[in-house]
Parts: sequence; structure tokens; C-alpha cells
Amino acid sequence: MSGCPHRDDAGPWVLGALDDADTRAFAAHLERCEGCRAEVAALQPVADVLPMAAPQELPPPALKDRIMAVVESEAALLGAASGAGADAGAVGGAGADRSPGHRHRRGRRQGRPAWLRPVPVGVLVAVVVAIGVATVVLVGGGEAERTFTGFGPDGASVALHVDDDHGRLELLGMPQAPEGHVYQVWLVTGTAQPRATRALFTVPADGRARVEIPEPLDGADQVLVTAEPPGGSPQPTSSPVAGAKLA
Amino acid sequence: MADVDRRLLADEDLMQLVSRGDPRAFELIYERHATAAFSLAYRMTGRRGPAEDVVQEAFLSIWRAGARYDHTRGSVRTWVLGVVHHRAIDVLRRNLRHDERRASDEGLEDRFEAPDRTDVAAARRQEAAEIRDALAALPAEQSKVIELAYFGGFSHSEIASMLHTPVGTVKGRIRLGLEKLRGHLGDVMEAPA
Repeated sequence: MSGCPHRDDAGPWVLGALDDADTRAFAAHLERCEGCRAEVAALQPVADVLPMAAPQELPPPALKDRIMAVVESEAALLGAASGAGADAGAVGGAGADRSPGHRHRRGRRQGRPAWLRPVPVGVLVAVVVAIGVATVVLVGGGEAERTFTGFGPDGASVALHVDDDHGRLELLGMPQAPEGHVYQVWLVTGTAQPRATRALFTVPADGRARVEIPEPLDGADQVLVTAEPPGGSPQPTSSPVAGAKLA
Repeated sequence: MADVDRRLLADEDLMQLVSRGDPRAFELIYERHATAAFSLAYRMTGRRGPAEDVVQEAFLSIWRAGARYDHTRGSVRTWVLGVVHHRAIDVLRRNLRHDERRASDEGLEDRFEAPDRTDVAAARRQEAAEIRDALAALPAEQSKVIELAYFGGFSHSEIASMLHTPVGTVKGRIRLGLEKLRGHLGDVMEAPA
């Protein structure tokens, strides 16, 4: 791949095993050597999976308690500083000073710009829905039908057509579900548990799918799609890959 | 937001909430990756106490630096484990003598085997077995330097000194070994972003 004399540094580099001086030298070298950058890019994914080779060991439950005590405390301080009243802080309190890291935290967090501070629960919901390309736009339809653009994997487009209480998803450029899985549609209303639908579907090779949702939307404010085992699931078992918000 | 909604989110989406100071989102990130993080830390330090310290430092660093996660550079899992790896190396180089570093698979009375409770855990065990098999299939001189470098936290010059081998040879063995692993692990590795 590269005839560069520094090529062999790429291996120790991705493992974090170069000495300090060599690390600095190779970092500078990488800026001007395309061959070595390619070597690093090729080897980095191997380094990234190495930790998975470690025998699996459960951390003690007390470790989570210690970490979360610090986190809750700092989140509460952050919420108080911002005055936003986020859902951040009921725990805090007694256990929060168990970590020495706690005392270093306060000043930095309070200094965050307002847009990085906790926001009220309702706004958080909106933030989550907005992840991806979920800009909700009324893009068409007659008097009775409304159409909302949604979000999906890179290169996919998702439209939700709503006619009275009936929904239909149109997907373009959608990848096929992982092997041994089908896609399932869910209806979400506020913070309630997602409602499973009988809308199970696969995507043909051309990436197009038109999915009628048999259940009435019944006040749902989001429609989500997840990959599930054949036959569907009563509750989602994976993260949404596509969806749209009704607004 | 109800916790059930957060559980629907992918790691990358949760990290956006973490960057805004959401402890529940952070808790889910911890629950999803704590076992892998602790396993790596324990494998590197060889003792539960230092491994706990490494994981605690790493996750608090992640909580405080959530906004620095860049999804274009890899998955959250890779990022988390990278933070743990760096913290463990710091601890190894700061606190522990080299002959205390190696984690042993025997004689650890307080060891907990992670139970195989879910499909995800089963898949990860399978993945771990594939990676271990691929490591074991390497020529011994290549697998040894990779193990010492990654899990031992040794620098290439320390390894060269330890094995009485030229520095250039150690570097070359590491690179060749990683290239062979890449050939064996194509299905396991993440595609570069």
C-alpha cells in the first residue's frame, strides 16, 4: 500500500503503542503522507474491535451507583444553574461527593452556553424527534390528506401520508432489514409505551416500500419503524431506523 | 421524556442528549457498554480495583465530554472503549508494575462471568470468540506483540526491550499482524465512517 519508510509506525499508532516522541513525529508525518494515512485508515477498524476479545466480566453494581451519584449531582447543579428545571436532579445528595472528580465539575458546566444546558422535558422530546432529517413539513395532499416528511437511513426518504385517522408510509432508498428481520411500524403518543402495529414489511431490492398502517393513528404523534424478528414484536427490540412526526 | 422513549434511541442519539446534560441518557449509555468497558479494563489491569477506577474515570470523562463525541469517527461503543483504553494505559504507566499487569483467567475468586442473557450478549460472545480465534491464528511473534501493545499497554520500545528484539521488527510485526487480522475479521469490523 505504501512504500514509505514510516509505514510500520501505523500499527503501533492505531494501538496507542508508539512512544511519545514517535507519536508526535508520526502525527506530523501523517499530515503530509497519503500512503500512511491510508494505512492507518485500513488498520484502525482492526484496533477498534480488539477490546471485544477481552473475556467478558460484569462490573459490580456499586460501580454504577458511584458513577451515577456523581452524574446526578452534576446534572442537578447544571439544572439549577440554568434554571431550566430539567428532569435532571432528584438524586444528587448524599452520595454525590464520593468521587474526587465532582469538585472539578461545577465551574465548567455552569459556563456552558445556554443552548447546551438541560432543557424542559417537552423540548427534549422535540430534540429527539428532530434527530436525523426529521424536519416536519407539510409537503402535499388534498383537503383530507396530509403528508409529513420523516427521517431514515442515509440516502432514504420517508413520507407519512395521513388521511383522517389512517396512515401510510412511503419509503424510497430504504435498505433491506437485517438478515432474519422484518421492519415493524410503531405508533407513539407522548411518553406512553409505543403501540405495536400489524404493519410488518420487507423492502425489495429497489428500496421502495409502501406500507399501509392497519391500526388507526388514534392521537399518535410519531410513527416509527424498527427492525424486528419475523412475526414482529410486542415491544421494540431495536432503535428506530425511520419514522415521522405528526405535527 | 419517559425512559421508555430513550431506550428506543440509538447510542448516537443518546449522546446528543448526554451532551445536553441528560443523566438518564447517560445511564443507558453506561448500561449498554459497562460490561465491555469493565472487561477491557480488567483485561488490561488484571485487578478489579484498578479496573473499577479506570471505568469510573472513563465514564465520568464521557459524561463531561459528551459534546465531543463525533459520530463520523466511529460508533459510540468504539469511542467509549477507546476512552477506557487510554485511561487504562494511563493507570498502567502511572501505578502498576509490569509484572502485575496481566489479567489471569484462573484463581480469581471474585470474578463474575457475564451471563448470556440476551441475543445481544450472545452475539457479542460470538464476536469475541471470532476475534480471539483470529488472534490465536496469527504467528506467535505477531500475536504476542499485539497483545502486549494493546492489552498490556506497553509501548513499542518497551516491547522491544522485553523481547530483546529490534524496535523496527516490533513495529513491523504489529503492522503485519493487524493486516492479517483485518483479513480474518472483515465481518466483525465496523465500516469506516
